[in-house]
Amino acid sequence: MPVAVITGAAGGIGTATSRVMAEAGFDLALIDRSEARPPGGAAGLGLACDLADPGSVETAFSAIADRFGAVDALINVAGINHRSPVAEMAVADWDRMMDINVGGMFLTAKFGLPLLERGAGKAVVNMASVSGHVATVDYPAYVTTKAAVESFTVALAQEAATRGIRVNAVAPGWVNAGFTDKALAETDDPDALHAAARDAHLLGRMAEPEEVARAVRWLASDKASFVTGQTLFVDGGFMRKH
Amino acid sequence: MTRNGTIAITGAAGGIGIATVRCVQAAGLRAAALDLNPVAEADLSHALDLADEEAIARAFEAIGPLAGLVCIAGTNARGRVEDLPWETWRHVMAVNVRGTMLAMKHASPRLADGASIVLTSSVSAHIGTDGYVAYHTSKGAVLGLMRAASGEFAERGVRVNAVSPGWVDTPFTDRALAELPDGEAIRAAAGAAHLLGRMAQPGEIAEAIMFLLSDEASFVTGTELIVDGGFLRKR
Ligand SMILES: NC(=O)c1ccc[n+]([C@@H]2O[C@H](COP(=O)([O-])OP(=O)(O)OC[C@H]3O[C@@H](n4cnc5c(N)ncnc54)[C@H](O)[C@@H]3O)[C@@H](O)[C@H]2O)c1
Ligand SMILES: NC(=O)c1ccc[n+]([C@@H]2O[C@H](COP(=O)([O-])OP(=O)(O)OC[C@H]3O[C@@H](n4cnc5c(N)ncnc54)[C@H](O)[C@@H]3O)[C@@H](O)[C@H]2O)c1
Repeated sequence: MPVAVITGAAGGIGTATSRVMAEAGFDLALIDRSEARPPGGAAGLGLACDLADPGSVETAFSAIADRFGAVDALINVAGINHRSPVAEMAVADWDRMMDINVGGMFLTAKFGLPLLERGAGKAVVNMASVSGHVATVDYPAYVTTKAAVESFTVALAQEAATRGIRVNAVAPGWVNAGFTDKALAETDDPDALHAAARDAHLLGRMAEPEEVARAVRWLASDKASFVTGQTLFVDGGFMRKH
Repeated sequence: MTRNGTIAITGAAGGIGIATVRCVQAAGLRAAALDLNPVAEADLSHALDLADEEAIARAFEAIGPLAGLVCIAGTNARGRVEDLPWETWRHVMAVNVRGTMLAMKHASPRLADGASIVLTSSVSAHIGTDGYVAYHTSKGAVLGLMRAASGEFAERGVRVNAVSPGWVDTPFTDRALAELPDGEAIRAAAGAAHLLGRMAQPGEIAEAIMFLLSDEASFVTGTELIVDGGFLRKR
């Protein structure tokens, strides 16, 4: 069975990705802050790991190596968000955003590439966002990390190509998942935010997490054998709308 | 995945086109070909010139209801700004841009709600190779057309996207190289221009087209899927 490592597996998009990859016949190694369970009775390994801690990531990947020996797809979904304008942001909050959203992908690649090299699938997919391209108000750290995810994707695609490994990113618009729930909880006017989230897309609605997960699965599959160093927008036309 | 119905494919007789016909049929869909040349493998074949609007209109009339449209037909021509004949410029624009627009126009009333349209641009929309001014311009225009149409068709739930290949091993590439004195040397170097160290096989472009056609891409619209083996990323 091919093996997929999925970070942020306990979250909205992570859960959907786990399900969709399990449907495609993957064994799962699921990473999140606390142990994530494979969805719907799928086989797999749940690992509690702090992606901002190199020792913790190294330990998780040695457990993955022990259990599976090789990895076919590394899917980096984990991420956090922090609402604060630059002028008011604590340096520690900025650092934490960078450490998890970008540093986490560096660490999973660092410890995951040797396992990917031994696998047959040889694909990395990173979660970016339209926020890497437009300035979401009051989320400067998030916007910065998501642009960095795309740059890291390009850089890793270059480095990993010599080993036959493809590296791509997916950039969603609004997704009906944890990040949106958090934004809704933080606003004074959830109805207005809901309407805004819907109207931001040409398709007139937000994405369901499975729609993002299916794009991830395609990029991770051999059908995308000539796609590397790219960002696939799964944004219902968000970037086209003005 | 769209499970039944007909997909109209322009340029179906070419390298990427025939690979797409095969993928469409393998997915259980019917392939309707529109090309200068007939396509025996397709379920329906209309030999026509995409510069001729009446011929396009008649073909779509005959093909009937559609689950999707794939515009692959394209033509290339050598020439720089300072020496490109006006008629050559107009021909490249007529096939690559107007032909694509007209195919969408006449497919439009026949496209089912929730259908998908895939256009073919190129990495050439992002770089400039000296000597192909009309082609580069036309492929940039295809992206503009894709973005504009994605807004227009969204109200019907019809998605519009583009694929942009890097070098693909097809007759198109063979012809372009044959025109050049150092064509074989350029072919030998072409693989190394991609991060993956090789040109694409046409089936790899067809798979990307299939993804965009299918319900797997249900939230993908107005975007460009670059299938270039890292060509644009390589320096
Ligand atoms: N929901 C959206 O609208 C949306 C839009 C664009 C991009 N995204 C991106 O998609 C990804 C997932 O979003 P979601 O909505 O599913 O969010 P979510 O909050 O539901 O899931 C994120 C998961 O990451 C985990 N995580 C966070 N920090 C971690 C750490 N240090 N170590 C290990 N795990 C950690 C969390 O525990 C959580 O389970 C994020 O990268 C986000 O930026 C989301
Ligand atoms: N081959 C490559 O390296 C490459 C790279 C990037 C983009 N592309 C694009 O992919 C598409 C297909 O390329 P290919 O390599 O399969 O080329 P190809 O030459 O093998 O096929 C092109 C097809 O379009 C048809 N066509 C051309 N002009 C026409 C007209 N006026 N009316 C009707 N049909 C017409 C041709 O008959 C041919 O069957 C083109 O749009 C091309 O610009 C190709």
